[in-house]
Amino acid sequence: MENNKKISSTKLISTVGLIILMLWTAFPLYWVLNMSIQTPLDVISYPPKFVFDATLENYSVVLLGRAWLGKYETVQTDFPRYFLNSLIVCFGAVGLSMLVGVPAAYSLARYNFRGKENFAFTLLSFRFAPGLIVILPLFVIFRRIGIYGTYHGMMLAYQLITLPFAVWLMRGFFEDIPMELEHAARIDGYSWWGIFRKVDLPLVAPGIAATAILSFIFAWNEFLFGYILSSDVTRPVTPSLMGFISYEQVLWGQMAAAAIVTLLPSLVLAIFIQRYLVRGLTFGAVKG
Amino acid sequence: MAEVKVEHVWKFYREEAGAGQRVEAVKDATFHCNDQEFLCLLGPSGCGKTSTLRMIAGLEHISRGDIYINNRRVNNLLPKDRMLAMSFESYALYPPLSVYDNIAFPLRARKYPEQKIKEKIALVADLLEIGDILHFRPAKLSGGEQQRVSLARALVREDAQVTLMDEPISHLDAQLKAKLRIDLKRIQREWGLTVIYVTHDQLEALSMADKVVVMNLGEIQQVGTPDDLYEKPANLFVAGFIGEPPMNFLECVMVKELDRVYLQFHDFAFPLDPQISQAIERENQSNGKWVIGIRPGDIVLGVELKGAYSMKGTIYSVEPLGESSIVTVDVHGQRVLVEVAGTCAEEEGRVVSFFFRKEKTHIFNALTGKAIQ
Amino acid sequence: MVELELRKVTKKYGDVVAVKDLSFKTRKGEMLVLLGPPGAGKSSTLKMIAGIEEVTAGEIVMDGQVINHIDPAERDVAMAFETYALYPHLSVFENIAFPLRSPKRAHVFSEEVIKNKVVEVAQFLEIDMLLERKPKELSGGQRQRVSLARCLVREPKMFLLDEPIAHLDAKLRHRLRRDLKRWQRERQTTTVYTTTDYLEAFSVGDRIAILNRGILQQIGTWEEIYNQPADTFVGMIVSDPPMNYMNARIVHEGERLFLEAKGVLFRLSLPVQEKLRSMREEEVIVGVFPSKIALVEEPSVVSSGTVIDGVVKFVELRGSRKIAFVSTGRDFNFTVQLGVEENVRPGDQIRCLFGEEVLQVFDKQSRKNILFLS
Repeated sequence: MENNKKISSTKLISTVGLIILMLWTAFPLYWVLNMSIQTPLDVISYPPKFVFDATLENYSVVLLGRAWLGKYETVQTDFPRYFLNSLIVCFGAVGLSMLVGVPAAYSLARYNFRGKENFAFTLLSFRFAPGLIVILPLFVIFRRIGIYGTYHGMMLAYQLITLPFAVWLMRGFFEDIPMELEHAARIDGYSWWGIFRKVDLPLVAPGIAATAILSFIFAWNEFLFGYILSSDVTRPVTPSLMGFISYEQVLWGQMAAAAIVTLLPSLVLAIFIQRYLVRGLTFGAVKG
Repeated sequence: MAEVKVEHVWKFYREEAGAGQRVEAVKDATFHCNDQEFLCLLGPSGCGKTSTLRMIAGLEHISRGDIYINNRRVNNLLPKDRMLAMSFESYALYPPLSVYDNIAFPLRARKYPEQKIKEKIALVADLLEIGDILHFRPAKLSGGEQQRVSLARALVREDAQVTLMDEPISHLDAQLKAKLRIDLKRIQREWGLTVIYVTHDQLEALSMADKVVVMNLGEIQQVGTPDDLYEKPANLFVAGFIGEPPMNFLECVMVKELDRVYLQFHDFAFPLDPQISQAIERENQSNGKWVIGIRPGDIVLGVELKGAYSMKGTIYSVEPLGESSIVTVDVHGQRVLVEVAGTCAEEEGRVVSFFFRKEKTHIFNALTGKAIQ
Repeated sequence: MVELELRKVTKKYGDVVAVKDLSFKTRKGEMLVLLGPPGAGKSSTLKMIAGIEEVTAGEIVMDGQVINHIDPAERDVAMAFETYALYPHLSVFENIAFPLRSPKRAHVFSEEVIKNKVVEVAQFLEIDMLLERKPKELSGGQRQRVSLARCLVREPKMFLLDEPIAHLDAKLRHRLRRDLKRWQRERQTTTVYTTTDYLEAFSVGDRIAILNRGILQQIGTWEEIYNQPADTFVGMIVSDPPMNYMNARIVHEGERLFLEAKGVLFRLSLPVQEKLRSMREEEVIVGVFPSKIALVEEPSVVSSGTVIDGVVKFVELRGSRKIAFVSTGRDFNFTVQLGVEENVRPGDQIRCLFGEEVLQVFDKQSRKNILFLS
């Protein structure tokens, strides 16, 4: 009996702690959601309003790309187009990363060659470097060779974000496959390519899916490259949110609505990815 | 002085998914371990032996029932207050400490003077042959060495009332195992330790234990000395689990003819002695189905034994094993193993007779598995 | 039926020598067992034969052709891994069928033939009710059998079995020890089989090669090994408990020779005396298997051999036999194997007979058996 009481009291404390932590992290999100359904007046009112008349006006402005008429200027953000731009650039960038990254990860995991670890580390170090260091040279180069403001130019630039990450993650997945499986398959009469297709790929498939989704989320959330290297036509959705800061005022409500919509793909993917981020892809292969 | 009493102990685990479903890992276990006794908990994996040990150690909560150490109820005592030493299957060594410091750890926790610690460690290290690795870190050691260090750490505690061991030598190779079985038993006897020892290896239990508790599926199957288990197994499970090569089982039907009761296996009939046939007739819930068990070593090949049961079959294979051979005889598709001393000159395909004594025959109820004693 | 030959094969991992100058030759259709403790180089040898480990030096020859540089897929050998190496994404059925579906054999077997073959081998190994499961749903013993099935389902030039039944329960291990041998003999497929268990080696092997630290100690039938152990290591590994060893000195008494160990004078047979007469050293090691020491009742009439009295220190029960640890009180201890019916208890006085024919004599330096030195 005493034991049971003890257990329930520690449980209570940890539950309360978790609730506090959840409020702390979720509140900003809640506030943005609030803003997105408030009228401009409610948004800037002080003290902040928790009870108000909700409106979907902001969403209709954002989603339909309608104009907002101010006193001195008209703000029109072509949000659907930017959203589409982001989709194009991110899918392209992730696809390219997978195409190049899977073989790279496989060879890093399975073959020994000179300077292997240095190569792998250099690749990863791109991820540590602040984007600001490379953005100016990139800008100049892109102008020179004429890919500034193009989709494929941006896909290339995004490799700095997605590729190192993809290679490192997938190298781990390939290394998790016991060498013995490949040995067994070789003795069973399969060539290198047969083994890669019949044994390795099916085993890392969940890993590839998880990596692709995570890379996609990183690419989607990227701001700097999209801001500097895109033209008005190819601008992705993240820098486009800046468009809601007008000369006259900041369109808080619409910016919040756009932010919420921008958040959705990441959110959906994050929920989806949980299925794949389970440990033990190769559980049961070998003894012990 | 220490004795351990386990009284009607249960262990439940809540199943994660099923609402309210509970898994019963240990069901109503009762046994006593006397002072200076070497007690083995023996059973296949998942039989509840480790859960039982962990409840005695205080590492797991007792769901129901009581555990007493020296007649003191310890259900609510913390592990450190139960005066136990324990050696784990998974070594559980402290990686940053040297082997010496690992072994010294429980002694330092009890404020032993360094000189005394040194003496004690020298003694144990000598015994377990780890004297030359005392300054290494655990990561540098082989599995067998780590296991011996873990053992040393448990043995060095002479203040412990009870020494608990969880499969302490199961990872070692055969030679070292054989050596440690003897050493452990000697240490236990010379130092007068009370040991509760968990293993899945019947050989370890038979060779070291004073008393064996055989468990299966959470339930105690039999408590007895190694001789008891080998010679009077309480049920089919114990009979099949103890002894290698394993006991032969023949499924028989009871036949009654002119007041005489027989157990019949195909065309072989085994007449029963009156007291056994009475016992069998009293138990009528087996649908007349019984199992006869004979150990391979209790069967004699070719040479007729007066008054013994006899059978006939075809030799299926002969396996030489050095000092003995195992002959497999096929009797109507049933394979009967016979252990023969020395080399066997029999050839495959020959028809042979074999014999076994009534008193070496075990009879079990085919439905409940219980032995007729 | 192929003939496999290893010629001075060496395998190094960095500076560690796993296999050293290993040479042996199998006969056609033979089951050769590599016996040795963990780390003796058994698995490395199998992997080199299979082609998944490179040979550091030496040649592996199959039917007269050096195969060092032939790809594993081309060698047509089947191997069961000690670590199982099952394909986790495939069902048990597909795991077993995997080699039958390889590009080499893809058009040879119809689906129906594959199914029949898989079911046949699965029934043999008692896993036919598990065919739909995935490896992670199996116990260790079941996984080991799937791994073995994937090997046996083929009809290769050679089987390489790496501790194939080590993790099965006693009953199944006994059955398979017997039936694997039969399976192999019916198919006449040359097989190399590894184990750490001498009983298993004796039982399945036509011949046995004993390895220690990558070096071949002895190769021969079980009778040759058991009756003429080549060195003290062999005597240790083919007996449980291991062979009893004691240091001894050659003593001349007129024409006759004796061995003296710890004050005990061992009588020797004439051929042994002859062998020892040519020895220059005086110091040797005497070895006796615990199973070859007999109990004698009375002071009695022993015409040959040596009688030693001792006190039983400890008795180990091992099911159908007992092991007694005997001390003579002169710093001279040995183990004796007894039948379970012998009623011997700690503290008992017993009298043991060391027959002339059971003594083995080893050189003190090289630890080689002097009696059978070739």
